[in-house]
Amino acid sequence: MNITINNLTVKAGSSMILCDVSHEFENGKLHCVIGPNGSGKTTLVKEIVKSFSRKESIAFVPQETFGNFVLQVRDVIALGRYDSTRFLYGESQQDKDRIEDAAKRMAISHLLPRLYDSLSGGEKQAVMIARALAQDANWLIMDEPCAHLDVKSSQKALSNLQDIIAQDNSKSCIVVLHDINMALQYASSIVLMSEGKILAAGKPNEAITNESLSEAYDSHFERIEGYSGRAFFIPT
Amino acid sequence: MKALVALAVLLAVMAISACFGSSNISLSDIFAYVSGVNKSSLKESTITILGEIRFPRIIMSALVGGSLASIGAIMQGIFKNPMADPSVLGISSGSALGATIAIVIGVGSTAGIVGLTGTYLGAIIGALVTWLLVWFLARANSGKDLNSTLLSGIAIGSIMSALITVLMTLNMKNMEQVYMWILGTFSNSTLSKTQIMLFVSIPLVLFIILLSPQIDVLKLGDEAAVTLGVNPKRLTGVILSLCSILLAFCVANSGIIGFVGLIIPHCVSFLKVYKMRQKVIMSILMGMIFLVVCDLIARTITAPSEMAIGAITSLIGAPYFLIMIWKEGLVGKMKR
Repeated sequence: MNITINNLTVKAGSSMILCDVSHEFENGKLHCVIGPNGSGKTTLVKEIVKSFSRKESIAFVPQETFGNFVLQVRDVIALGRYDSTRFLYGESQQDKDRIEDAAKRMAISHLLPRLYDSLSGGEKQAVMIARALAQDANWLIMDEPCAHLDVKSSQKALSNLQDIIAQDNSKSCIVVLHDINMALQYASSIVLMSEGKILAAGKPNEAITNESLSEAYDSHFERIEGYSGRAFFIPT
Repeated sequence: MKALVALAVLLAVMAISACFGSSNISLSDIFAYVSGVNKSSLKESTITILGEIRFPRIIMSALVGGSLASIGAIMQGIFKNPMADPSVLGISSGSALGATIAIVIGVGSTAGIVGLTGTYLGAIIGALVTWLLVWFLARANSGKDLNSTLLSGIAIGSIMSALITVLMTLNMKNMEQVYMWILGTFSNSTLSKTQIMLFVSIPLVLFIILLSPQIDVLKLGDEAAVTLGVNPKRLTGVILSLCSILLAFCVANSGIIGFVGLIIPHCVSFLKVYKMRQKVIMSILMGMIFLVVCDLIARTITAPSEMAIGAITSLIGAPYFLIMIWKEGLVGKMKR
């Protein structure tokens, strides 16, 4: 099922956060939302999460939930299975498999017995991503999941999302990223935002150009092509 | 497993507590009374003491202890604040104000509905009115921020406490009665009050236990909680309302007993129990044990007069708590 947004406007007091935004996020793709700080990325994904009714399954990793709370890592990931274990709180074999699989995917199996508040920022983020993976939702929506992750963990997180989509065509992701080149590498569709509007959207190499980036970030960019033919953009 | 040990300790403590009092009763007599085996060998007076006085009081202290501790565990989880305890919503003070008004206007010991005194009914009405006030103010703030509920509660609590002081100053002759009540005591427990408390607290506590895993889900953030089928606003409203009603009955029965709701949940963390449901269950058991022991001390240490139980809970609880902090380097563990 595609996610369609029609003429979405969000105000906070007198300032416009989102201004008449319309977009269709297609099913079966890895969508990356990029743009400068304050361009409305977080508000956009939060609005998408809110607009979902409960029956359409969706998992959300917000930007700031990495506060300190005391719970074993395994139990944190198990919260992703909360829906199905709601009443008796007993885990089925399927729940257990999902939890272990999610931990394995994020390479954090060794952290399972640890307490969440004893982890580093990056480890916490990996746990939160694993928690969302365990939810096994059709739409995975993540707000800056790579913010505290090192290069390798970031790649692991994004390539996991790619794998999940490749294995099951009912799955789709929307990921807010800051790293333009990472978005280019993993996304199958990019939304570039600026000042509460969608500046460019579409296939990565169509949406991301020197011109669109310069306009969005108010800064000059240089396009560099690697030996493999892959393009990189660096600010100059 | 830990819960079973705690349950065994609780039963033992209750039995031991039943032995002591104005006349001492042997453990074997208590066993005979509880099990019904050889009950005919017991003296009439022993049966009366145990059935009408001692067990109602012990069970009442256990119920109040369990309720206060579970409310504390829930509050700390909901407000994500290790300092939260049952008093933060101002409900204890509101309840005390209701009771004070009843005492001051002279209906304190008048029997009302089903033989309950004016103090009792005043306490319950005071608590519920306070909760409605806090809830209304927090909602007027569009309920955006849990901290506004917390702050409204603290502010309203202060107003209520100030009004109690005003009433006490204006009515010096009733001061002692009000004062004893504010310090907390189980000396007013009767069989009928204990029965009412049983009927009220057990369903409420079961309901709270049933809802408690959702509090863990709230830790993921409101939006993520919604995707897991938990409505943060509704959950907070329902749980805080349940806690308020439960607290109203606690305060009506025993006055204000501080400290239990604050420290028992932390002590449970030291036992390495972290999931909210287990934590609430363990808090209930530990709270029960704690108050049964404290009440035993309160009614025996200065017999025939009674010590205020609030003083005992603080004198035993606080040093224990400090030792735990010192041993465990609590700072990290206290974060919720």
